Amino acid sequence: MTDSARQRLAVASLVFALAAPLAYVTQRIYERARGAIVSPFLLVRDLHVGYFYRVAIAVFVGGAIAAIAQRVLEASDARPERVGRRLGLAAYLITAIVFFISLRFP
Amino acid sequence: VIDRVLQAVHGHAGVLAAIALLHPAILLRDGRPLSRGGTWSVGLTALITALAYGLGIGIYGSYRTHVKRELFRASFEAGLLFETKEHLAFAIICMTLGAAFATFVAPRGASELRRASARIFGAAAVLCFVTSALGIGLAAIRDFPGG
Repeated sequence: MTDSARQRLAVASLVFALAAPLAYVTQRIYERARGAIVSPFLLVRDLHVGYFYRVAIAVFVGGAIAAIAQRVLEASDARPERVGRRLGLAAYLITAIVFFISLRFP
Repeated sequence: VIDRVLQAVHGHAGVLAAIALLHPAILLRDGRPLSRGGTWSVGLTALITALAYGLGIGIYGSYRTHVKRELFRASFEAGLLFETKEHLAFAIICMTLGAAFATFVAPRGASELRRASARIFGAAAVLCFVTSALGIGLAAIRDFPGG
């Protein structure tokens, strides 16, 4: 594998690291918005384990976004190093968003 | 009994993961290529974090059945904090595995990518400390029966 291909793969991996948690909390906000959260005292009667569905969907969406990012990098002449630097900075912002939503809309 | 043991191991692994995540965050901050020790550090950090998360998933079904409702009954706010904990746990595992894979696959000259990984490891460490603290606090409120 060439160095540039490895760089693109690394960027895609970093994109996944940030996109999957965002996809997760987006689903959570959607669930809260449509009122799907039932009384916690009924949780044991709920056969649908929402957490596993959210995780599976978030992994899929994160993976898809990472694959798209890799293809975009391949097709354009953007330097993966520069994209990586921006992702590093975006990590703080995305972490803050995920933390805020997790705490505010549990 | 086995659930209580797994929960204890899960809690200890979570605290260990929070501390372990700091190491690659510091190690990779200047973007230097991975040494052999650095490779072990990143690999073991990913392994410990995955172990903590995997154990959490392993006892989730039983926890939901035996503890979660009681936790909500004891304190509604504590029940919601458990929800927060599971959201943050997913973010931590994604960030850790993504940053670890990026670190391994990045070529020697890609220092910016390793710096980005270091930042993501650092952010994951902060979230992991919060999650561990929540886990310890919630276990003090309600635990598996039989304790």
